[in-house]
Amino acid sequence: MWFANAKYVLGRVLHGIPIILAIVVVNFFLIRLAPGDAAQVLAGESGAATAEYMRQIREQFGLDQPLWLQFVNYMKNLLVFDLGFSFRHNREISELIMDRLGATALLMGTSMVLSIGFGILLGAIAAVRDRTLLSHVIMILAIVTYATPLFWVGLMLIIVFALNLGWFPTSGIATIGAPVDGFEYAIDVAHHLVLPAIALSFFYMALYTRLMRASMLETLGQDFIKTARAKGLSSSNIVFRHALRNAIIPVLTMAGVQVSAMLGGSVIIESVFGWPGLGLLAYEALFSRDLNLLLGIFFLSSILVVLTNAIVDVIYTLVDPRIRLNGGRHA
Amino acid sequence: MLSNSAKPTLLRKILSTPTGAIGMALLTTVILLALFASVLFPEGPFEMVGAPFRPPFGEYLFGTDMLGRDIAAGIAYGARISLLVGAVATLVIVLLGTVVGGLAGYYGGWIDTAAMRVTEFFQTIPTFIGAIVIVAVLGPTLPNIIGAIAVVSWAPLARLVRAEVRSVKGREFVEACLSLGMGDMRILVVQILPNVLSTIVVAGSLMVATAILFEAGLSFLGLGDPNIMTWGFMIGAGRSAIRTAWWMVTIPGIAVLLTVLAINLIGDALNEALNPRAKR
Repeated sequence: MWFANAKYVLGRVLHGIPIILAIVVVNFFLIRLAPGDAAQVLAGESGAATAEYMRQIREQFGLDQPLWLQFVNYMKNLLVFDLGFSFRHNREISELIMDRLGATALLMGTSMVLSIGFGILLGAIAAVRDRTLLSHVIMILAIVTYATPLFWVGLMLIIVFALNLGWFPTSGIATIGAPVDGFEYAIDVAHHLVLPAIALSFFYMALYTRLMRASMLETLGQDFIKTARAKGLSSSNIVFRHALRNAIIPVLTMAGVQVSAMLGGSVIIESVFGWPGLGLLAYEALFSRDLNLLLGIFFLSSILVVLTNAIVDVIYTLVDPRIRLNGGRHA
Repeated sequence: MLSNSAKPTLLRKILSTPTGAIGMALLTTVILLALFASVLFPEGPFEMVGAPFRPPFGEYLFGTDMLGRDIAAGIAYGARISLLVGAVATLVIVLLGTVVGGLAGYYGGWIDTAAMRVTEFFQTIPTFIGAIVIVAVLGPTLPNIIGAIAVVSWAPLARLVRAEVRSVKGREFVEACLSLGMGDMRILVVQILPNVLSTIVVAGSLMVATAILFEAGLSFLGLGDPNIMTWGFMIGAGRSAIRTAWWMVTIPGIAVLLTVLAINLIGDALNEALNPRAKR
């Protein structure tokens, strides 16, 4: 059993490798698609790059060599996670990215928990109380939220809760000059996290609410639920012990798929709230036209998605014995 | 299925549901606004019409921005871009998705394997970051923005079309066509695709909404065409005045929200009208 599982896990991880290679190829050729000299493009259009930096870029990308050799060198560098050097930040790109990863993970993790938790809760309520005022209100809110641009939600939260009510800070991850570790720091970060996490989770919460309601309605109509009712089990017992557990599966599947979209959302939310993660780094890279850095972020975020997909698949085989080995996921 | 004679009934079906009726009313308003933008605001969206920082519902319906530009004019001209991007991007997505998904689903074999590998790649890359990278590298022009949105969004549709084509291909009438000596292309285009059309229409209608949200996000981040007024750009520009002038970010956002909402509602109504069994 565990051996079969380990083989599956390994297979899943190997499966991601061609995709990562393809991303490298795309990154490599994208720069060469850009109008003008690749070194100029990578250095940015502002013309602020020094001769020294231009030389470094030509060297890193081997721009004076034949194309195939350039590609081989590029691959070699990426294999050891050498993403190059950012002139604007005056640091290695891999270091820059690693520094920002934690903040993004905190924001995305919190938003995922919020959106999945409330999505399941609201969707289940809407299904159990189907055709009542409560379920209509929930579904209308979900439909409207589903149409709302993330960045706009963020700005509205800032106007209401930060500027007018003054309950939360408008931006950043911590108060400048406040203690940098210990309990107080954690509280301070949590205080800064509230608005961006809510803003990022809104859209996904709406998505999961709609999905959960549909899935729950379907589950409640199935035979095993009828059997449970016939056995005389209480209503709440049926909902919580039987229906909910089955109805959750499509929502979790969707949440796994949405990690990639949420990374995009965090670029927007981080730039709205000045949250110093990967997304804000990408936004800064856009502004300074630091394309080398932008491509590094794209590369790393793609790897993150490949890893998450593999992890989600593995969790499935552990949680749901019906999905195993040769079969993909169901739902 | 969607033949000319069936169209009035489809429209009536959509209008008969409350969501469909609201969606249609909202979308019609936005389309009219886009069509008559130059009649309503002949001076264009970049013209400074009055004093800056005028609040809404006074002299100017939606107020003015920090440069004294009429926000209502921006909303009207922005509607053009949002609808254009949504429509053209979706057209490209549907074309790409149908060709790739149709061929993969019909022929199977190595074509299918190759197509599925490619779609898997496009489904794995973080779509919005991918669009940012493409536009940043190739330059912020309207065709590049539309192309970027289409490139990162076509894969799910291709998978959907492939699955539908495969299931239709297994039906008896396809075998009948084969035994009649009909060519592959003719079977695929004339016999199978019409059966898949309702799925494509429903998925496509929701793609329009996603494309509009993508465009708004890109131009909010400053990746819009600098010569074009868009809702996302207005929100991005209004950010710097968020402490004093709430309307500069709020009103264009409501425009995006209502347009996307309208399209989603119509998509839901279309889904109910075309796939009554898959009612959600």
